Amino acid sequence: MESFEFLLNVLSLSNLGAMFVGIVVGLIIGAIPGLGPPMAIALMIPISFEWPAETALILMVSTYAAGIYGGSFTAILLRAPGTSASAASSIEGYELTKRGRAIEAIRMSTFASVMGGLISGFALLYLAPPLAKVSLLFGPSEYFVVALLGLTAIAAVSFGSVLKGLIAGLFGLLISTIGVDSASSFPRFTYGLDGLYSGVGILPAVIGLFAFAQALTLCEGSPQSNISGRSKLSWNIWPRLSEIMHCRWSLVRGWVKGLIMGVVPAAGGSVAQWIAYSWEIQRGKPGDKFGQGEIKGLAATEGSNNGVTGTSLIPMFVLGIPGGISAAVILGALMIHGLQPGDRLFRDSPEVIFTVIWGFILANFFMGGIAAVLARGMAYVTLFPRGLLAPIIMIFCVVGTFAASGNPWDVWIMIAMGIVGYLAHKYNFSPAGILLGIILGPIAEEGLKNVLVVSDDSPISFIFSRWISDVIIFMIVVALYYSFKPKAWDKAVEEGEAALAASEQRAASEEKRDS
Amino acid sequence: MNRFTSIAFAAAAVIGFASVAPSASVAKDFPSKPVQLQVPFKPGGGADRTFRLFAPYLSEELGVPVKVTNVSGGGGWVSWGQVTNQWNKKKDDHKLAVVNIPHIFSMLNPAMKRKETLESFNFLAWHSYDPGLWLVRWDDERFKNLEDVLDYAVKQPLVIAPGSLGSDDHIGVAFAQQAVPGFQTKFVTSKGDNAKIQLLLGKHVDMVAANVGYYINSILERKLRPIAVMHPEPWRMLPSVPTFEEVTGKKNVTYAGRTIATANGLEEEKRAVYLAAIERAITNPEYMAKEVANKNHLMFLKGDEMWNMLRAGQKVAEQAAYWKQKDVQ
Repeated sequence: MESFEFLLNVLSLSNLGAMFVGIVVGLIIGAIPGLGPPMAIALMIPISFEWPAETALILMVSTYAAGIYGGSFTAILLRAPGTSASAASSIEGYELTKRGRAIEAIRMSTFASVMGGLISGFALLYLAPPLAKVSLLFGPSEYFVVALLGLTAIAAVSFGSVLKGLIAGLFGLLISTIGVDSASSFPRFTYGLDGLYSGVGILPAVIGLFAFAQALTLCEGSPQSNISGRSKLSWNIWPRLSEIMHCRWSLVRGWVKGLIMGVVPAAGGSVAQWIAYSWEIQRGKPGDKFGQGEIKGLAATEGSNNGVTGTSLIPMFVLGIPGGISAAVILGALMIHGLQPGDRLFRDSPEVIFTVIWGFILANFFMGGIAAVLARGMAYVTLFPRGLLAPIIMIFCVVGTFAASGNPWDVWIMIAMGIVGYLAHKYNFSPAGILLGIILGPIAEEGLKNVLVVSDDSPISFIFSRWISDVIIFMIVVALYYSFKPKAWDKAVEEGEAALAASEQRAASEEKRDS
Repeated sequence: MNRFTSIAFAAAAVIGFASVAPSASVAKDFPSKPVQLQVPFKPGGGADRTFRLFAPYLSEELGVPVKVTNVSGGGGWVSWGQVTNQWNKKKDDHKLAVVNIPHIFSMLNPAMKRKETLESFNFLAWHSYDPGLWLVRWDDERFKNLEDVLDYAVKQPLVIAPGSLGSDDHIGVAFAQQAVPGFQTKFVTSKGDNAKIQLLLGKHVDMVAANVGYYINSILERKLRPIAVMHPEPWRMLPSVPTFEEVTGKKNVTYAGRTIATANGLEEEKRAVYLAAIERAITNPEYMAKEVANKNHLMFLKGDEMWNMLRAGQKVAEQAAYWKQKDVQ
């Protein structure tokens, strides 16, 4: 393949150096709630504009890949997701940490993320042009039904109380309507307060609902105790083959969902993780402990959010349409270096684009090694006393939220969401359901409003007339079916087991009598 | 550490954040400390990119570091609310703010309930200018030129992606609806130029209303065809594309502009230092070359020229009055 010759370009000292810096910065920035990859990449633009284009872009794509993965560290270890793409990982990941299985969770996250990133990188290398065309199929109707598909995850993340989960989801949808409506420029629920004009952002919501709420939860209980309830941790950071085999299909499903959702502009990792997670729960087997530290759930969410990274660059490189905020910032950097996205990029500057793609692939590979060293140290935070961890998390929440937007209002919104998240968690009202409502509400609303406009107020026939919408609707039906099926199945298994136990008991007593 | 101390420590961390305020100091030589350039949108957008490119050149002229900060939210008003209502000529004399035109004219929309006027801002200079442009798909046989589009729109509604309602792109269409009798539209709203290109290439809309800069690449790639520019005369980057006025005889001038403002009441000497530095930085050939690559058209205006441009922009926004349209309410 022609692209192979560019692999050697990546191995120059400057390119490898940029990659190393990108990975380390990404891992650290990603792990701190509020400081995500888009911000880190934006800050790198002025620093790197004198560099050769491929070196500057390798720095940025490495930061992007490592940042998404780094967000999972704090999600798993502290239930304080560093980025919005790792919020779902905090559910099973933190439950594993609480049970003293933090290292096991981290190594599964590393394997899922590194492999997800590599597969996504190769998809970027070989499938870019055809996959870019898929992103064009998404119009108002598809955005609306994709948001509905995402909302079906509420049933899955409710853990036993669907009614409370739905209340949480509806509350999230209500919160998502706050702010200036983009379709009418009309301010909704703002009460004349400047800070509410931009609504409740995803970032303050994620940080509040998960990280700040977690800090409040840590204030309960003995300040001397630690999260994991252990004083020593395993040193084995490499996943065992048996662990990988146990999660193999969850990993594959996570990667595939990440690859697909990456191509859909504006969906990205923050939607993919929930779809992947709910799919796992719906396909759960007897014995799976979702919501109580099920490693398969973590494998799927971690696989999906890094599976997004490479493919989200496809519509950006091929069509100039970035799949997410980080891709948009990288697009800006591309243009500043005098490169234009599109067919011409592959035709006229293959030495740049293929070097960058190989750089991205190698960055994912090296990220695993660097992370393995860092993870050992980072996992020790779970041995810190709660009395120390709670204020540290709060400080990072406040600083991170403020740094992201410079808007003091976002900090108060984050704190308010933190109190909501704390209460929701305590009374089993699924904070994840609230977050899903906040993320998907605007996508669903804009999609529906645009469908109503283009369909002359006959949305149903319009939506069903589009094949890709039909495919997504089919997936919604399947998701809903599986949401309710396991219960009937579990019941049957329980009854069967009870019957079996009873018959064994009977047989035993008969044997006893006979003897 | 008992439970109370850990909660108290945490509370102190939160309250500590709220009480941190910039320190006030006025030195003899101005500027005497780093200057903050406040962008009203998040990192990574067009405005952020341009001013991050600009900052090192402005810093060279001012002799102190220029730090770009982002204060986003409320369509820019979280930042502009600070600039007009909170910035103090003494305490905030080392701050500059980016003010986007016509975004600030959302203050004219009664629903926004804003008290500010153009005079509420202490504008220093105009920085960049990007005229409105209408585009269709390159291979769309229905539309070869603006006449085709207007004929079509009189017979049936034209599905347009103008970004969000109230944007300069939407104002241009709203103005055309007043200028061309029977011009029927349907608006598919979206966020950002990326989404507009996707909607158009995916055949979800017939036309996008946008600005020149971001679309040059799609035009060179022969994916999108420019059909009219919303400028008084043909735009030099696209000399063969007619203006709206040339085709319809009706004036329709919209653009996205960026200006730089400072704290109200700032001493004239300090204002002059800023203005001279901005002028020299904008005309630095190295910076100009970077903006050419960035597809951003620099336009330096000051004094009356700048104010005439601002007032003309406000007049267009008032005339278009998109908030009075039926489909917007």
